[in-house]
Amino acid sequence: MSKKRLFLLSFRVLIVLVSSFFVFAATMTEDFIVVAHSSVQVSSLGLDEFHQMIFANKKTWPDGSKVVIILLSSSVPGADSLIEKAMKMTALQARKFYLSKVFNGILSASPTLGDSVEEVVELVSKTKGAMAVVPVGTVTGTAKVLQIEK
Amino acid sequence: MLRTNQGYFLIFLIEFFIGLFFSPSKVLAFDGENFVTLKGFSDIGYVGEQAGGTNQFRLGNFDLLFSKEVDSKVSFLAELCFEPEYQSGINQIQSDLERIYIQYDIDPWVKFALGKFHTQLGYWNETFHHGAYLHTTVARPQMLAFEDHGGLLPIHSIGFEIRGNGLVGHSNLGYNIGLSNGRGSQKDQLPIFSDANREKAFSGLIFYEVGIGMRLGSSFYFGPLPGGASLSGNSLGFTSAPKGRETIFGVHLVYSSSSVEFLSETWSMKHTYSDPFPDSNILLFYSQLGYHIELLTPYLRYELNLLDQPDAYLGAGNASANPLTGNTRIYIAGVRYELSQWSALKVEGDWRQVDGLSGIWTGYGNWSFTF
Repeated sequence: MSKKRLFLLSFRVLIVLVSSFFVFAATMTEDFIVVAHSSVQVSSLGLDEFHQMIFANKKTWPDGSKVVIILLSSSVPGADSLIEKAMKMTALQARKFYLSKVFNGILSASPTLGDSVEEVVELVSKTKGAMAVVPVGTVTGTAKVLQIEK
Repeated sequence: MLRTNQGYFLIFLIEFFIGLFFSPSKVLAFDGENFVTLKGFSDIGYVGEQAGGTNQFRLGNFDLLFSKEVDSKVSFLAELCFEPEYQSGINQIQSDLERIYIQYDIDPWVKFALGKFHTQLGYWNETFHHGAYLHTTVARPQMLAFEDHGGLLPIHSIGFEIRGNGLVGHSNLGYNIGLSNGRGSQKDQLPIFSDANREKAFSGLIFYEVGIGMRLGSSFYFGPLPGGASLSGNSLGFTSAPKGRETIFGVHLVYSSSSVEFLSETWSMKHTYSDPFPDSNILLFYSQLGYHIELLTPYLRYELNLLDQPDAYLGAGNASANPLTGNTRIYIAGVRYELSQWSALKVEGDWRQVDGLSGIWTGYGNWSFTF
């Protein structure tokens, strides 16, 4: 195959795939809630902004404080599906994703893990700038519940 | 409490090995408030090669990553890699400081870093680094192999970077621009301390993540090929390294979901030389598709290296590190199994066809892990 034909073929494949990208739309389910430390000065986040934070693309809150992501450990029943709903990837992929972020120098460490929903809420309540995804119906205590706007 | 430098060093050594072998936290503590994060990768495998008719158990890299947020604005990262090699009939382990940089975050859109990096050439080179566990396959694409292992692209750079990212529209837009020493006189010799000329390489990357798991990007690299070094026994018969300029343009497309992983990158590389070396144009392309079935991921990869003639720079130097003598097609099939949370087993076979030569196969079994 000539170089020119290969370029044209590659270009066509790219066009088809790029077009399919724009058909894709991230959706938010009602299967989880987002909690944050009480000092966080926002009460709601846009869906895109939430994704920026959970994917470590945005690392600070509007007041400049650092976003600290806390996740539910995979050993807890239901934790994997919670991550899948929030991040659209499996728990295994999420672990590798954050590990990759550490190796890229984007994160200094992988997210802290809680061994139960209660522990996650407690960690969020105690850690300035913390944010976590927990199941609907979780008793959130002093942690602040953030509304996610579509 | 020990307060001398020797004391800190002793504590460091003790906690380093405790952290390395016993602690799940992977944090080295110097004192109550000062922490260095340690992560590591390694892999061990078995390789059967038609070329040479050998088969062997093989140690992979042992890679240590140190990172630290010095304060809210300044952070550093260092990656130290121990690489088992076989060169000139000798088995040996080389240590290499693969990356080291210090970074100052002005804001999310402007982060300034100085040190040794992975060159901003697409997706794979910036994402997977030296940890075999992170990528689905056993090996990197040949074009992205490291400089001293037959790689074709300039994988590492020494200089500075300005990078940033932020929400544009509904998704993340990022960029990375760098100025560096560029390549060495031979492609497996990186100018980490002394540059061979006064010219610098200019490179950059821009990418946009559409939705979740999808990324489209483009990269460029303009740099000198310094020439000058005398050669002996190179595959093309030159007696000195060629001098010229290198221009690279690349695009990449990545899609990753809970069931599918698709990576595709292509680069157009042009080498323009002073006489008597002929200019060359090289096209590099790979595409990789994986499908996740629970803990199992079967995958395929196709690699293509097209060149209009043997390249003077890539063909110079150590013949074993310069495999690009003709158009090359590599077909790879394999399967990855997630053995545990932080380790994976991979079985892979590749068929390599160079124009004018018989195709050869290589089989791999590999156990990679992170800690």
